[in-house]
Amino acid sequence: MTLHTRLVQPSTAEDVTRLLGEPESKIFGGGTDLVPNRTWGLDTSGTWVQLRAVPEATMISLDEEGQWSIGAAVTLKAILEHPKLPGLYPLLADAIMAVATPEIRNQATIGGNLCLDTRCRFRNQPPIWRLGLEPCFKSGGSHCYAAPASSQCVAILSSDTAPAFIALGARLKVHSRSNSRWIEALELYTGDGDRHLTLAPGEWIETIRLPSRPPLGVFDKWRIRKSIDFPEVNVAISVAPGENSREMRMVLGAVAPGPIRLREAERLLAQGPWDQDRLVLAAHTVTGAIHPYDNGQMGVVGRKRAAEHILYRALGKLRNMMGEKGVSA
Amino acid sequence: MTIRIPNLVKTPASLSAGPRIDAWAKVTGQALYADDIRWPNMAYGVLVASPYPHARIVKVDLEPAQAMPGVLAALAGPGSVAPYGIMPSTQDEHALATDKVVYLGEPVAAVAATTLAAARDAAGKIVCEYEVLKPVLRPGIEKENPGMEPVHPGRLEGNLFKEVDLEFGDTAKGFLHAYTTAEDTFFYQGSAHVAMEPHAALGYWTPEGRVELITATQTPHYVQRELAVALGIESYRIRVRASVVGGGFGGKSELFPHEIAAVLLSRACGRPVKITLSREEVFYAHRGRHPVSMRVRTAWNKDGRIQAMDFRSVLDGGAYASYGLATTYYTGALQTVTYTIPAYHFHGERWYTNKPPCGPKRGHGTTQPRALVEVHLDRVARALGIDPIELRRRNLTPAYSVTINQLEVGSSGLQACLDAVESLSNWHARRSRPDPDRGLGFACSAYLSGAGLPIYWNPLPHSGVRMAVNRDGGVQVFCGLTDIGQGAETMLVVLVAKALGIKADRIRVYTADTGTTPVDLGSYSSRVSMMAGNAVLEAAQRMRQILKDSVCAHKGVAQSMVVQDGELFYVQGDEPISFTQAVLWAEEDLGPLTTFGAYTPPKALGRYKGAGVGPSPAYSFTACVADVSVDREDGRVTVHHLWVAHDLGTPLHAPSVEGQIRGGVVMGLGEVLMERQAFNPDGRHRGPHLLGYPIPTIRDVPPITIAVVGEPDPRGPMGAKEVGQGPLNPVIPAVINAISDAVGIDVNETPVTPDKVLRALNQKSRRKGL
Repeated sequence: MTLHTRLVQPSTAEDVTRLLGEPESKIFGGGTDLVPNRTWGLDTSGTWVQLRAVPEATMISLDEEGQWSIGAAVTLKAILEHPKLPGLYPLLADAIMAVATPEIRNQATIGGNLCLDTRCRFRNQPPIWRLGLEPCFKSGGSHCYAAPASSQCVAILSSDTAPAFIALGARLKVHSRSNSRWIEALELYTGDGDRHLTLAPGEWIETIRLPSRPPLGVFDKWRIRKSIDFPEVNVAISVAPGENSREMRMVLGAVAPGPIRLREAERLLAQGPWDQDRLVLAAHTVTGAIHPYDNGQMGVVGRKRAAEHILYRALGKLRNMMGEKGVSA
Repeated sequence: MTIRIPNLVKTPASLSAGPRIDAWAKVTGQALYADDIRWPNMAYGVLVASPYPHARIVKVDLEPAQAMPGVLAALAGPGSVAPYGIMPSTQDEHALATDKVVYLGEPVAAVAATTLAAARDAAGKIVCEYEVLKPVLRPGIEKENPGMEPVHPGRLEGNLFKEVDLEFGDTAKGFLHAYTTAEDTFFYQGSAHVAMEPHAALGYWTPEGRVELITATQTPHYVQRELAVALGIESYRIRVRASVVGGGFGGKSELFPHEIAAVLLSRACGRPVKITLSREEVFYAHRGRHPVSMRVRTAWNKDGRIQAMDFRSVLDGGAYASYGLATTYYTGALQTVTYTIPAYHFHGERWYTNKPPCGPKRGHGTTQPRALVEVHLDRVARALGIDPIELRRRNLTPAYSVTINQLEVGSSGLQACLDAVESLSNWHARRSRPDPDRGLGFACSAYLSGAGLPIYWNPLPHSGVRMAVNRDGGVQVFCGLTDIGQGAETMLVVLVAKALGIKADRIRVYTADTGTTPVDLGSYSSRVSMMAGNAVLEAAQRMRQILKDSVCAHKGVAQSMVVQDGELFYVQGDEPISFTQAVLWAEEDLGPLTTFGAYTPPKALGRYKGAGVGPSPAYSFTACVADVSVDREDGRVTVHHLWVAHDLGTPLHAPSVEGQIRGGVVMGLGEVLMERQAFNPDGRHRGPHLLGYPIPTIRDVPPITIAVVGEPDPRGPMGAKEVGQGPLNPVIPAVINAISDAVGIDVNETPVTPDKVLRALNQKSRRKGL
């Protein structure tokens, strides 16, 4: 049936929460992912709730403690063109620049990219393709075509900014019916490709808050083409220089239903100087840390190799940056 | 050309470098593509597609759809139309599947409604029941699955669509006396055209019983003929017009189910009906490049000259014939046009499978064998210790010669192409001092300037032109050719302006309409400039003579006393006479001024079965060098630069020539690195959409240096040959040869994805380990 989706534009957070409480309702950012999904019959929402009339969700602001907040409805383009943010958080700017194309970045929102629906080669297909197929987990069935042995959906989170925000230590303000709360960016994801966000019905992200002291960081992405493609794998790494020890975050994306924090590699890198061998070893830990399925464009072996490759490349780049900034590696 | 490197390469001058005549309409959005057209009272049609690659149709129930609001007509397959097909001997298609579906996406039913949304809703209500059958997904699979139902039951040959075997000279003897022999195998993956515009058609069955069809097609004449067969009515009752076409590349070269369905729905509901395919449906309508498994064996003498070649190809044809008969022959036809092969054996097979039908795509059937031949020659060169370009040079087919398979090669700038890319790329210096993991690769190729024979046998001209000159001084050119974006209409204007000596803005062209224009067979086989070009020159020369005759008559002077220079006629001792004055005098003498011109290619030399595929009035030649690096860590291939030299005789319109070369090269780049019309084990397309089927973005395109070389061809219009298809072919093997040069791996399959590079690197290091 032709879908009739209602597009609403409430002006207060309370109204957003109320409208989201209705069945089949969803936040609508720039529509760059939802609209194509709807065209293919993958998104069947009855109501799309826009945030562009909610002041908190549309601003980029700086509080007294020096923390920057970005509203969820701010476009990727607006962040890139902000006078301060790209300079302060180049890791974030690099991740945003890696998203899709200029046309899509003009329209897409940062909240939309963080909450991007998961994708799979066996689900994100046009209508005729899906007709004769039994539904998979994400389509309401009980089967996974990408991983037949899996008891849950393994669709991929293809967000480029999610690993970046996690590496930066960003916190997200979640609105719900009763109150609002702050969560770590990594806490947003369940690890299940079907219901991939930890948000309860009616909950939504209003703002993203960045730490006042930006860590050093790098972002890298492996994709088939030099433009438009979703990542086959991406990585964000940050190092926050501390008094005695440094805090490090290594996050890999687009190989699972949520970003993956590479704790073993982090430990390895904390144990000694960043010589060539240590970087190679750290990058190599990724082969044990991720278990991609054949649901991307590239095959499983290729994606693992690409992950190791960009991780090593990113670590090398980060080491050079630390050298320039006088941070001991 | 815009790129001239006069010190290194001799470049022939282009006849014109002005803007294309369709440029403004296209960039301002005024050009009407088929989907832009809206007629009064028009209805919208939607096709219902098979969700299975192979199944028996048990039941199609249209009733629930017919009961929906806004629905005007609904149709299913049985009994509606006769079988049809582009090749007269292999007519195996129906507009809507009758008793079986043979590929996923095959149209089964169609519905028309007052709005597109209503038509879609109604299509979703049509109940189709199937008995699912095991899909035949590759040639020969039934050998491992006895009892498997063939794609088209009742054929003695089973799924084998066509088998051809040709031998010229004594191949066995060539191998027997060889100094050395070599063998390679290769799988060339299928690919889609991905024209920017999806197929669309507007059909109208008029109350008088005539048929109007406006459609995105490359071949209005063939569509008219096929439609007459499919509908069972006389051709003259059908008028087919091509809309402005947003790219064809071979994918719009025959009648399609949606075109028939639009007409049938219109007959059923009395209104014009438009059907526009979705991108997904375009991937299923397909007719793209055949996946081909190939094997080549060659025999060589001590000097690095080919003594014999044995070439085998197995084509995975998909569910229907399409142009497949011709494609099969084409995989063996042009090997001899680039290199002198004294003894040549070719064996080709095409098989039916339960996949969207394959057909012609830019380079039609010659791209796949060219890839293998050029990769093979590189390996032979390595084995013999001869420079790859030098090895080719020793084997080039000379200009104005006849090949062993009876193809008449005319002008050839192949040698000049080799020389050009060799010097432009600084080949020898770079090859002797390679950077780590970086390599240079070379390949060359040849292509037809128009197929020597039509698709259906007939002795008539391949292209006709009617020209009129009016008393306003304007020139009208009527020709059935179809501008699919390649610049065919601009070509007419350039030639007419030159031939009549007039300004281009006097000329208007009327094309691609079987109701008003003389037949041109269509935009395929790179035939339009050669054939319509020669036809329009003939019409123009006749017109020029008429005008001159009238000037002579009115001035009472002999022909020799009149000289035309540009738009002025000079008569000795008199004031110059304007073009328009000459036209007025001629109309006064003769009535409305009309001339015609026609072109029929020279007779082919070959007299064997299959000799009709390969002959052409002239061949274009191309050479390419690719500069490539390979990342050993992630398997990524980066193309840094491409040098392409093309011999097309006289360039008629520089911007179109450059556009065609760049377009062909980029398409080749996509095929070698990323494109694949591939299928999952259940018969589903890997990704029938523009994310699932990547083609190069502009950021993936490296710098391309173009050189246009060669001499005017004696048969071409003002010396011109083709440029639309040839430049694609050498790109694929040049890149593969460069990969081999960079990291020493032999790649035997396209596309060369990072996964395959990593696998090949792995195998290589394992071999070393042993």
